[in-house]
Amino acid sequence: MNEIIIAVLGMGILGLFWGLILVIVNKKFHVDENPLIEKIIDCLPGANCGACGFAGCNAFGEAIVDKEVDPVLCPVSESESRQEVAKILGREVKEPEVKLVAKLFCSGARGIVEDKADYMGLKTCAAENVTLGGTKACHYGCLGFADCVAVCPFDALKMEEGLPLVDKEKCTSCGKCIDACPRDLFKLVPIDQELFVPCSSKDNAPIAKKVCKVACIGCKICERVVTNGTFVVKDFLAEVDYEKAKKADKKEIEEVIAKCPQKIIRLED
Amino acid sequence: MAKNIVIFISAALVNNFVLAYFLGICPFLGVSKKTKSAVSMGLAVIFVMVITAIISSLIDTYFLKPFNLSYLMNVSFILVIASLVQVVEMFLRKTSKPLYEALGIYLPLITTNCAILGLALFGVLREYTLVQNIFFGLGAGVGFTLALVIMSGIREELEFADVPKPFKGVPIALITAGCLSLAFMGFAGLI
Repeated sequence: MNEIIIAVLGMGILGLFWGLILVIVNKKFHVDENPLIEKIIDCLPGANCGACGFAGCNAFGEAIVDKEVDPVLCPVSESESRQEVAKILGREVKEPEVKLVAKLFCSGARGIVEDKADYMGLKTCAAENVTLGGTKACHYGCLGFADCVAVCPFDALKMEEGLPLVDKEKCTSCGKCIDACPRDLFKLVPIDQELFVPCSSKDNAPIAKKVCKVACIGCKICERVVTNGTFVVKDFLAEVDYEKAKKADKKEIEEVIAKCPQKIIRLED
Repeated sequence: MAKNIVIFISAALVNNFVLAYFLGICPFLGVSKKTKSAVSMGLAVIFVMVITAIISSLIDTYFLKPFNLSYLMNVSFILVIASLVQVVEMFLRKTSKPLYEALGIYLPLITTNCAILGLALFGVLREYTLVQNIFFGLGAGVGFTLALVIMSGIREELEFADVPKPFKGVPIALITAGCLSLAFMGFAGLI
């Protein structure tokens, strides 16, 4: 019993002694930080996702005050908090025009696309991609091991039928899924866009058809049917120009969706 | 006195903490990119090591051994090391902000640096007296700084060398560290 008391007392005194030293040193070497920085950091969402390009919300707050960085760089913050920041700093902050969300450009889940071989390695997309380009027959497509789902700090991605689905409400376009996908299948698109060619296959027609039931084969039927240039085919892959798609003839859009031989032109909300 | 000099040289060269015992590899690889930050890191470590050596020796002699509390060795030593590192951090933050930011996260990481705890534990294990502990701490710190500065010099030159792509960055640094360790083995017959 005696030993326990001595041990506890001894450690307690040691701790107190060093605590005192720390307090004294802190007082003597106090560094005055700009009080504005604290206020600004309070307005930030505190997710520490790094989408702004800085090492967390604290670093971003410091940069806003010291280096005059634009608060709009934070895609997670609400418009009100950005205006708060603008008010505190006495600066003007312009709002970005359209909210962007992430979208997966692949429709070939593992059931639709064949496997060349059995993969028995680490069950992550990054690992499989490094292993001789993966075992999926299409070497542009989604590997389905949900690296993107794991990395999303806002829980906006879920695997559905083998492909990641983006929850538009939760997505803050921070860009982490774009970095995580080893095949660069995610792109940022305007939140109201519905017309897509969700495919990234640059294979020519015979190969694309062989490996995936719904891959875009670059047949250019869409380029011809929709006359205002909404669809542009490059490297055997069609891309939608959203500005032109908004002004395109509705009938032509319906026609092209029906005429696409692979049924890869889709209206997805 | 001669024994103290032997302890100093042994800790600095023959049994260099980084290159012979492989302690403190984290700041060794993390701060050795620029010579300036390497020198400042080395000085911070020397300071922490010497004071740690003194205080842990005192704690062991007057608190742990008399009351049979040797099991508290690790805990009390880490307490001392952590507080010391905090003091160094606060000091650096006030006196030289650019240096503080150059060292970045590696400054508070001195706390978890196994070299410091290793120094304290070795001192107790080898039953050094207080004076011997001081020389031991000095020697270890100087040896650590030496290894760090040499490494940073080499790495600065490596920036301009034609390193093959698979080796760029950490791999070539680790290979260099290995070669440096082999070189320091040449001191083995010194004492």
